[in-house]
Amino acid sequence: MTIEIKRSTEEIMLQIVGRLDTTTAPALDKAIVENINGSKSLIFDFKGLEYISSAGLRVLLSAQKKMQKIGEMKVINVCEEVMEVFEITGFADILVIE
Amino acid sequence: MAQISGGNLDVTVDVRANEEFASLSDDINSTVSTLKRYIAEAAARIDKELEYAKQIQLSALPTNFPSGEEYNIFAQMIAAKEVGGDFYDFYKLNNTTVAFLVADVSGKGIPAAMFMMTAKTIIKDLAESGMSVNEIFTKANEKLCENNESGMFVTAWMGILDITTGKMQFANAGHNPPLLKRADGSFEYLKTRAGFVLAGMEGVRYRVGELILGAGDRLFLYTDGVTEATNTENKLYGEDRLLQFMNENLVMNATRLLPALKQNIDEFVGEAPQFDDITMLAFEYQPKKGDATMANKIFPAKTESLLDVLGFVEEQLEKYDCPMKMQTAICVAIEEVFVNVAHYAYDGGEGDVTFAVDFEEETRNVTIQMRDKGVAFNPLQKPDPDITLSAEDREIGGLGIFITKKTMDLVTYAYENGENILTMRKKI
Repeated sequence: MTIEIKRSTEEIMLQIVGRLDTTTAPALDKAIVENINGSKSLIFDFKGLEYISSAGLRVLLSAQKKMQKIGEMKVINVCEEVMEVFEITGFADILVIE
Repeated sequence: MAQISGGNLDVTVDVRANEEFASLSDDINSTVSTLKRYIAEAAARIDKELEYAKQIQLSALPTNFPSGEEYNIFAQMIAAKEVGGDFYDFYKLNNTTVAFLVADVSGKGIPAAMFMMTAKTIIKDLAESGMSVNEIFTKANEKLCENNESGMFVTAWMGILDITTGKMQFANAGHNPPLLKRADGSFEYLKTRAGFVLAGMEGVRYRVGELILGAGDRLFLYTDGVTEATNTENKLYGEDRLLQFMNENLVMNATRLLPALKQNIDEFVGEAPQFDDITMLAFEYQPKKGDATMANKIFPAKTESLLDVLGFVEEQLEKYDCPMKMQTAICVAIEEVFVNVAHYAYDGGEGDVTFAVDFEEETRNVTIQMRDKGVAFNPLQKPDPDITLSAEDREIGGLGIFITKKTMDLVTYAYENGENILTMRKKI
């Protein structure tokens, strides 16, 4: 899984390509923690994300809880398979998905 | 008289010179004659007891050799005149597991036959409780050491095979190494470090050996009655001769091979009497090739194996023309349950997980079964998370198995013979 980080003044966008599973999720978590300081807006571009499991959901939930307090978070370009997981687990209602 | 008191009872006393001597000499002769009769009767009783011992021993050995199974077993035990307590045994532990062993009890006669029965029963009971082969030996040793005043011991070699995967675990308690032949090779000794004999002393622990058998692989187990068969010149049949005989007769099937080997031993031994029991067990693995849609594979229960597991599952799903979207969904479902086992089943220790994937054409049902021998745990017991809660209130716990339950059409759990078995089905 690769993570590309794009910053602007108060916004940070993480472009994820690959899979978010139990082996790769920790890397995403680390990237978020290391880069989030000072940002009021966190955007996940999931155009290249083809797979997500509960390990990935855990990272997203943790990020969502943090960002809700200080700003906003959204998820964009979600593919069908990933959307399916969001629907089943009720994450479709928790995350802002565009 | 000196001859008689020295033990030679075939001599008669004949002193007729004096009447008293004459009567004394007749009495002596009749006493000797009675003694001879008692001795003959006692000898006949001992022979009968040896017969009984032989009967005990033979009756304990299974002769219902499997047919139509995914393995072949044939075995023979030829007892020496003085029963030596050799035995073999084999039994299915469940639908997918078979156990087989040979053993040799020290000592002879009825005590050896009885000890053999005890050892055989203890081992079988432990095996049927689902423990691994080295644990069986460790526990059997403890039990056999109890009340073992006669100081007998037993050597044994036991294998437990998972028929679906070909994985065999084995343990050796002071026994001679079996012969192993791979499908396209010749026999070689499977020399692994042997543990101590069973019932020798308390506290002995046994190691487990592992092999993956392929179709057509064969094992030959035997007792030292074979390799230590001695001829009149005190030469032993030996391991080299046995190896040579086995490799010269690779085409022979087991039911002819074993008697042929016995005959070869007899020819070598010649006039010398058979000193020890001769036991032979031939095992061949022949998994059914017919079911082309079924696939089995074993993986270490570690998260590092995740991609291998999913790769294996995807490979099978591809064969069944499963749409990509569904493949991904099924993989997520598998990841959730596999990771659970990797984290918790073996309590931080080493262990395996077996995956079996099967497909039914008519219903287009894919069935994926995951088995592990870890801590008994039913993942389905976990209550579903409340998915209507907002982000602040949401918990992650229970989410994984929930995803699996929602993705698959049916998920069931069973605990059998020491194995957690999770079965998942989805129509693709």
